[in-house]
Amino acid sequence: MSTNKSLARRFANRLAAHAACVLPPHRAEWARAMRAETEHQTSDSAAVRWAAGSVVASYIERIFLMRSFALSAGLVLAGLAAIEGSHVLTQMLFQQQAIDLLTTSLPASLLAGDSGTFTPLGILLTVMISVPVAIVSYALGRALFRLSPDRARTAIKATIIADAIFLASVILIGLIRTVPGEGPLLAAIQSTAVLWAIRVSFVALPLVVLLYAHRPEPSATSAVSSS
Amino acid sequence: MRKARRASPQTLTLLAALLEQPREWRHGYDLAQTTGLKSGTLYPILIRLADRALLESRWQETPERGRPARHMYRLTGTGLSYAQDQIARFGAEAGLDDALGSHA
Repeated sequence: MSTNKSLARRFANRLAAHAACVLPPHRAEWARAMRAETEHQTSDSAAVRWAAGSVVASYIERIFLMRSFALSAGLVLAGLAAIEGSHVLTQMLFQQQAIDLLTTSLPASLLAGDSGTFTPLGILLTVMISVPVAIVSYALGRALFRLSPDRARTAIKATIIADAIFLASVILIGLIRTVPGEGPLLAAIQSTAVLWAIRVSFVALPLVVLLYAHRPEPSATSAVSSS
Repeated sequence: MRKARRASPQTLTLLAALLEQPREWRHGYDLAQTTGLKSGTLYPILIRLADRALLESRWQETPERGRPARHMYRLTGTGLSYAQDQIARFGAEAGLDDALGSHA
């Protein structure tokens, strides 16, 4: 067999090697598989096509890995920002100077002035609380992903839905509040208990979902590569 | 018993191909030729199936001289049940009528 490889074949091999580099370390066997399959292509053009597809697959795998980890942390940060943002939003929409303690975030309520707006120290304290929570959530998300990628994806999707529901409810309440001719029902919606329930559920729901996702899956036949 | 989510059309196509010869080891190019899927689509599906213990893999025992061993794949027992279930429930929608009821 001739050892002289065409330019196209060498290009295909370089592409496959690149795919192998892009793949995460725990995918080393798949990297080797892609390179081997490229070598076995009968024509140079087929080899280039196969290797190009392998590159696409490797980036999909890398991006999926990065996105899952980043998304869990990002969701937590976004959620915490949403909690604090909703506080500001309710302040603005309700135009109340004094908000019941139960409806505000603890740091802001402790350090906010009579205007009900955030103070710099309140913002700093909120960030100091948010960052460790985000780090812990990131670690949890990463551990969950390694335990069960499917359930990690389910937990992330559920958290996104919970976030969306929460934000939509805050906006809806704000819109209702500004409609003239409010009745007893709208007054009840404005109640501090409802707002507090929304905030608690927003924080608790993702945690419950993550805890639920940590439950062991039903036993399945393990896949053992036969030799 | 919780029902499995519907697999993508590409995954269903691959599962049907693997069901054609469930106990045979098949390499990637063979599966690509059978399903019409390109490697960029095929490998992510194979990886996901393997992660879920629905697919097992091994290296070719006797590689061609001068060439590396190929990676071979086949369904596990769980994967076989999963594939049959998916094809039975969603195969018609995906245009896999030929695979329905032929892989007991």
